[in-house]
Amino acid sequence: MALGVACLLTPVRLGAQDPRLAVRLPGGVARSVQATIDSATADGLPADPLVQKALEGWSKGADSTRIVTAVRALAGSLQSARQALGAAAPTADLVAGAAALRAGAQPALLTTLRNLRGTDPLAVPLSVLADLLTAGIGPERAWSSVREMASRGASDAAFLRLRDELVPGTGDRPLPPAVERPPGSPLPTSRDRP
Amino acid sequence: MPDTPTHSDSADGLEPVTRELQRPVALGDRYFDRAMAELRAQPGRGRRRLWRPLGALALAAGLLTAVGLGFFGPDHDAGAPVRFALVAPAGEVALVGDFNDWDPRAQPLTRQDGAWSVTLRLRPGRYRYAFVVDGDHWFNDPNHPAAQDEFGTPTSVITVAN
Repeated sequence: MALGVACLLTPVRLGAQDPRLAVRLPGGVARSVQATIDSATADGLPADPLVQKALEGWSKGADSTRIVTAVRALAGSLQSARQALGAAAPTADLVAGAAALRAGAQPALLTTLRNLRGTDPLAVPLSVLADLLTAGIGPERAWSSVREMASRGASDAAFLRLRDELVPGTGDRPLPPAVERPPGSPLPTSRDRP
Repeated sequence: MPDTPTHSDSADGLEPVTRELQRPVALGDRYFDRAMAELRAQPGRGRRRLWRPLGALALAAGLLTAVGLGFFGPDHDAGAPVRFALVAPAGEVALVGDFNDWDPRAQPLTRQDGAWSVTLRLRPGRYRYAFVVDGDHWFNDPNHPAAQDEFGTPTSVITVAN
């Protein structure tokens, strides 16, 4: 709560606000998110993933504190991913790298993967690593699987097949096992809004 | 003396039956309309309570989501066509995700033979997304990995390859 109040009261630059934020989010939340985005882009990070995170939170009915916290956390992960992957890393690699970091990967692993893949894009291997970790695959097993494939110069399709083999319930199938799937989740009520 | 079917006789007789049973059957729109009508007709059930059996029905019927990737040549600017589909009894289904500003109005799915679907062109990368059913119920994609979600809502991830 205190963080939310602090975020809302944070002075912000009077720069151009992303129109998507201005239209969809209340003024205070939009300004706080925009301040985070301005700071991130000044450091060379992409803005769109941060905008999407804010819009995701708003669409899901999250309150302002959670939205601003989530955007700031993602900015931090993108920054760490960029440090690990290099300043020239494309947005897709940064997004996947941030997901891998948030799933528990160490930054050094991203750098190692970068070196193994050379100039090849990293988005798919990093995304697969994030999926494996999120699915509860042990960090050592997840990393050794991805590292081995990267060492062999595996294609993106091969990485996705690895993911489908290791993560139960993924991959295109005609009839997924319904009992493993929870029913849909209702949105939070509007009273959760600021 | 009546003939006693031998093993081979039985196999010959069952083969057409087996083929017929294995033939794919499309569930028409009326199947889901009838199921919805029966559920709604039950007394004393509010919208939220309705969704418990409705969710079970959707899952029992196979909450099928198939995301098909097809590449129509090296059109990297436009991205690769990705089909999102969901089988569920619903009045409307929307797709929301990192590719459409999480706007439920951006990509409404269309229903055909009981399956809701939409095809988008996505550039290579990692995208978070979800289905919104009847405006206020969120479903993840059973065929794709679940995403970490700081907002407490079902969310999936799709990775589009280069």
